[in-house]
Amino acid sequence: CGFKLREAPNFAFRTLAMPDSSAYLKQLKRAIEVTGTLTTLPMTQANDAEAIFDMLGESRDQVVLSTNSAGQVREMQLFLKVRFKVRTPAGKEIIPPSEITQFRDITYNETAALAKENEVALLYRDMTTDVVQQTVRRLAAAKSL
Amino acid sequence: QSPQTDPTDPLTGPLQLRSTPQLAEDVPRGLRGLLPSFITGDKISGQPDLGTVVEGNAVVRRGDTVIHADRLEYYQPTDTARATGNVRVNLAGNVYEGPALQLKLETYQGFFDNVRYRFLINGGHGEASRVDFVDQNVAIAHNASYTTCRREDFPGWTPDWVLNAASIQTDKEEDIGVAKDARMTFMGVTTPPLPSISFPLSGARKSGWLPPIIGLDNTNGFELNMPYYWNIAPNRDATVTPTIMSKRGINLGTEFRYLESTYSGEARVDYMPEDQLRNMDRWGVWARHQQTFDAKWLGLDSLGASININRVSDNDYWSDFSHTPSPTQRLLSSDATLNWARGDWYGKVSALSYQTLQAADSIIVPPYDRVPQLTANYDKFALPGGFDFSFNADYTRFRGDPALQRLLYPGLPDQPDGERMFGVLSLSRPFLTPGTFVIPKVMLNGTAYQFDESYYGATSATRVLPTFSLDSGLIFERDTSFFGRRFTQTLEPRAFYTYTPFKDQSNLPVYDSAQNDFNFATVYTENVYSGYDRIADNNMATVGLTSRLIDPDTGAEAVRLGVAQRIRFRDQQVTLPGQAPITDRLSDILLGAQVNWTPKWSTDGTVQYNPDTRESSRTTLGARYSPGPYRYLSAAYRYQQDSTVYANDGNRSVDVSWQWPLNDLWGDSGKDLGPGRGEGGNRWYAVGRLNYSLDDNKLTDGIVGLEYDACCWIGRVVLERLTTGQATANTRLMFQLEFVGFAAVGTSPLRSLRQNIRGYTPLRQDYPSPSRFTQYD
Repeated sequence: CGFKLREAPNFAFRTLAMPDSSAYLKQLKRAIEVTGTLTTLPMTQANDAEAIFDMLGESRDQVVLSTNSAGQVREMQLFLKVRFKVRTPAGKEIIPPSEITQFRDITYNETAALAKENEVALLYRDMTTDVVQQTVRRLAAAKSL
Repeated sequence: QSPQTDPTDPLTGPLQLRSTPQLAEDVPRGLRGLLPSFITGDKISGQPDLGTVVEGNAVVRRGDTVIHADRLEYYQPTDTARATGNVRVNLAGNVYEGPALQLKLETYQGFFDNVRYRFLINGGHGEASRVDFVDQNVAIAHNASYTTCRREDFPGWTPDWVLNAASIQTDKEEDIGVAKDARMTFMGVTTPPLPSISFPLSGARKSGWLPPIIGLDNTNGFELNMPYYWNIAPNRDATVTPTIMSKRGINLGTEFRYLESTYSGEARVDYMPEDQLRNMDRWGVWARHQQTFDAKWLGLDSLGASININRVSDNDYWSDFSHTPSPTQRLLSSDATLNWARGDWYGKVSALSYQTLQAADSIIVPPYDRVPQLTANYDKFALPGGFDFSFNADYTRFRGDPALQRLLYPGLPDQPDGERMFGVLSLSRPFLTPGTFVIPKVMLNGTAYQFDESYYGATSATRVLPTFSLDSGLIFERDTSFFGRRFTQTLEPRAFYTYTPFKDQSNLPVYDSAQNDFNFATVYTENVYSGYDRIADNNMATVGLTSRLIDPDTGAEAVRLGVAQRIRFRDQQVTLPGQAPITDRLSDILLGAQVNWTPKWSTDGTVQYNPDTRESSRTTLGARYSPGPYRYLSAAYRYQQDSTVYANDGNRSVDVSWQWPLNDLWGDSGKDLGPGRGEGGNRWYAVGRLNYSLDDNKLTDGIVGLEYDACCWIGRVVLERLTTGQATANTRLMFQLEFVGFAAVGTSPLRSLRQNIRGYTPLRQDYPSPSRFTQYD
């Protein structure tokens, strides 16, 4: 019913200079290269790129959602917030400072703290994957240089 | 034919605004004397280079200084202006009015009699018998009054609060005012004289007293909390909070934060000598430190260290002192870690230990300490042939508490402390296109244990297991519209298969393993256990389908719906101690939905449904509505079954939190004064959070409050109730009065509001000072 396999998005720029100093940026770089329609450049070649991806921050946050009457934590929420903007080498903003947030709930049990530490890492990887996919769509939605 | 436009031609090119040094916020010191003076008036007489007399509507203007008066004499050799009759001076936005002034225009030295003044940065104003201008930044007002309450235009107006002082010295550069021999009057009530009191002149962070909190508490008695904020440097600050509790004594809280180019951190230390509640000294330490080192001389790309310390004096600390910084209040972790990276290698050396706060009616079996842990990892992506390779190695020594561990696994032999080493090799070949992915992967996991004492008749154990997995998915898209909005709709089927052969692991200890939650991240992984003590034997697949609605203009996700289920082709024999083998062919069904229709609205829910019992083993439903600053509503329901019949880790709770202006109810929606400045005067705000446990039929955590914003002061009443055990709870009523523009703006004085209510926006926060050009005349 009208569905067809996703095609490589059309970006308003052909080369994008970006850092690759974190797991998010490494995955983003890979997801961009898979499209075949946009090439990434290291930041050292920023002036040769049509657009520059500026990482403005990545923050992780953990909030207690519920405790029982004995003060034991039973559920937490994990937040991943990524902020970035895209500009031309001349400084014109293509995508203004934008924020993509993901959150996940996780049950908690003090005795299993070490196991939960591994599970939290798994959930952050999962959120990173989602944020990467949304970033690629955000980049593709920018229509003009 | 379109007209030719040349961007460099001022006639045909587009108009462009350019900045000019003449409009700089601050006039540089050396430049001040060089600026020309403009003098206007009805009648001007005088001698060039000596003196000028202006009569009628006289104005002298130089740089950021303007003087209006009926009569003005300017004597050039001494650069002195003398003004009389309806004098009004605007010094870089600060306005002084009175009958007579004498001022040197370059050095700003002079005096003014019977003055009314008004400061630009915070709207503070007052009157004085005389103001002495010492230099460009410093002025001293004698017999002065000061308030930030806005002057109303009716006779008999008095400000809600006013400070009367023998002298008030203001320093514009330091942004600080110091009042000597001062009395504060609030609503007709006057304090005894205070010898000296300082206050900030701007909305920026400044040293000073934060608004005190007065509390009534069933455990602490009468409570007075007087935080002092010390802005040591732009990258360093401290807050010292003495708290007097009538039933217990004095608690001293200190908080110190620092930020340097290679290191940063914060430390909070609370100390209460001779707490009468428990007849002992009480203390708590919560500290974090991060540092990066120059790693080149070691041949590394990066080397960093982090230290976290969370430690308190005794088991009852969490219930006697609420809102300590550790999110898990009864489990406090301390660790030190050294992280390194070199090329495709990275790893760490760390030590972690826990302090578990025990209570007689709810013992917590503590997790194992890792003293130490060493890891090394190697990742190489896009090898020839398109392969990804990774290697992870870990050595850990686990230290536990066998006596308490016994409670967890009754009837089983005591788990000894021990060392564990493991290495995982994994090789995958991703086939990726924008619309498809297929990722076959093989892994080999080798693990070796060395026990301190014999466990199941052995002092060591090894395990080698291979795992194969195949992850694949398709992404379909179409353009569509719902409720008049255009969307890109996706349909994303995903299938994941994994196989691991069976190896009996019942004689291996459990140091860091537990069953993962069942969610959309964990169903697509090779092992149902987190940690490395159990590798589940699997021959199973996960199938799932996700559909999203994406705004094509922004790429933002408006709706996401997902469903997933596991299909087991063989029983799972590897279990945690005390668990029965898993024989179901079909797992629970996982359903998830998230709707962010507009940035204001978001709702989400997940349900884990068991088709056999026709019950949900886990449900979460939540909704948030946040249409603007100071307006936030959220509600959530959470249910989680006990993981086993013996475990007490289930939970059923309802959680609501809010911040909302009550004036909205009668149609008074306030004014947006910009971030950190509230919505105008005479407004009430309701704030709160209620966390209710349906299992215990108890309010485990409740805080409700009212805030009143009178523009130049804010009043707060907050009622807080924290459950600290099956039959005990702390209830506290707190009051706070904040004189805006008088108390310092620092770390949030009412910590609980921010900590509890995620969407809470403080009514006043740091904000940039207004420009002098907003007061131009």
